[in-house]
Amino acid sequence: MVNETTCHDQIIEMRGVSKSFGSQKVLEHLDLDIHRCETHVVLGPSGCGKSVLLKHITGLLSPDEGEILFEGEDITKFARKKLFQMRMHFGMLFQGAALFDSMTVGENVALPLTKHTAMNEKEIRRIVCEKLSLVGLTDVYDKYPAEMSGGMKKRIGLARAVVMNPKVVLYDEPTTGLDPIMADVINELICRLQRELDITSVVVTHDIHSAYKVGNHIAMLHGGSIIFNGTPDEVRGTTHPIVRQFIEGRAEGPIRAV
Amino acid sequence: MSFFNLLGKAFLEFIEEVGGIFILLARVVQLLPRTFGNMRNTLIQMERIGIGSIPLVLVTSLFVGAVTSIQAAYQFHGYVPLMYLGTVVGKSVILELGPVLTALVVGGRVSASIAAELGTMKVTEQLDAMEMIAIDPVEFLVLPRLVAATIMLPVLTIFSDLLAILGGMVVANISIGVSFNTFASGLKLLFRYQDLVGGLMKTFVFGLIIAHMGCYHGFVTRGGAEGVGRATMRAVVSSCLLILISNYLLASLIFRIIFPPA
Repeated sequence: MVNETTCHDQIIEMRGVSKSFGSQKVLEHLDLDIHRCETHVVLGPSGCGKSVLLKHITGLLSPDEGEILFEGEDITKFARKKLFQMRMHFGMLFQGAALFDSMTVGENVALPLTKHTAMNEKEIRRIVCEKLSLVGLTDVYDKYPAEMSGGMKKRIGLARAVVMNPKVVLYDEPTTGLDPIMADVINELICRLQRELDITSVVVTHDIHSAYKVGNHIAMLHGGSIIFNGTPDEVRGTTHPIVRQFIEGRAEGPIRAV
Repeated sequence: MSFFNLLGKAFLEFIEEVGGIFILLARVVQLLPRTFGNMRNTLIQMERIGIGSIPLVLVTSLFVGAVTSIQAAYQFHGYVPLMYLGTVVGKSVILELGPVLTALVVGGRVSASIAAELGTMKVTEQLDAMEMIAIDPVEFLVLPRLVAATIMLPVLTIFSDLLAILGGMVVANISIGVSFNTFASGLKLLFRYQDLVGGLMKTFVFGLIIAHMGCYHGFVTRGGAEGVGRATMRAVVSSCLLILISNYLLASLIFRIIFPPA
């Protein structure tokens, strides 16, 4: 259990982060604080730069300007080796799960342990089975990802993301492409992991129901920066025109869909 | 966009691509000492690239040797005694046909498969996932493929040389009536071990080119299925072109400077 005094301080801070791809500005002077042991949701329409934001947090992309602090250290100045050390504290669930096709489910989940620990095969198998059962999967160890459904792939991706007991788990559109029941299963899992493992979570999604269910804080990304940040109740009660249009799912309004 | 803008853009893209190829190669060279820590992956790739290419190399080499024998006999007719058939087939195969044709057929097969595999991994975020679990994709994916191809291409070329000579010998005997002994004595007549070594030296570079083009184009894949298709095509085209260009440069270096004619 994480010490209460260390909980709720900022584990990740993004300060004035900007990123462009060619002439297209994706992030513009973005500021965001992520608090330890809480679940932060970043909402926004498709293509607004949510995944780009996540990739900045993990150092998969570097900002054109601004700084990103993880436990007080600016990761944009990290050398590759230090970046890899930092990533040991992160887990990430990708939009399409990003499981390695050529490996079995067990090998996928076991890979971080095989590469970064000195555990023997038996120990690794035990931990992998434990993580797979945490996400509600059994008897899939020797199967290949191609044999799994979309929801199962996401759960396997989640088991792989938490196998090293990370401090932070990042979720890129965790419920996209799933039926409502499976989406709720994933939402429950996100809540359960935060409760049981004291994990800090960052969820980027455009699924407002998922955001209300899993988030302690909800931020709205629009035009490359965070235009609103508050609790789920504050989001429900806000009069901010962009946030209202988004949560009500209206085509008419300040966000131009076409 | 004006003609000069297009020309400038194409030039910049070319420079970016050449830079990218050399940066990736430099990273692989830097990681070379870690090959032994990654031996399982390297052996798997050696099996895929080497053993997997044997049927293709077998068929290609037998028929190349056979057609070389037929063509040489046709050109010798009335001018050169057929006892030299083995000499010409042996020299052509060991110096050029074995190394270059093996590289071209293996290159088509292997660079396409590597580019398609890594390209698919790129567009489905598997490379990002690998980075996220603190595994360097260059060390885990590129290094074993480059080492495996660089080792296996010379091995496949030796196999190809032997089969092509065998093919030439059998066809010379059946179709042209040159006995095995005559063919073999012609083969030994002007044989220099430097020819074999020089031919094999080229194949180390060809192996490197094949795997590197596959890996580079796989790594820079953009878009979905169309992007993977484009990357695969580029890998095959660039590896074939680089094999042919480097063959000229290497032949000039090896057979004019390192092993000059006796």
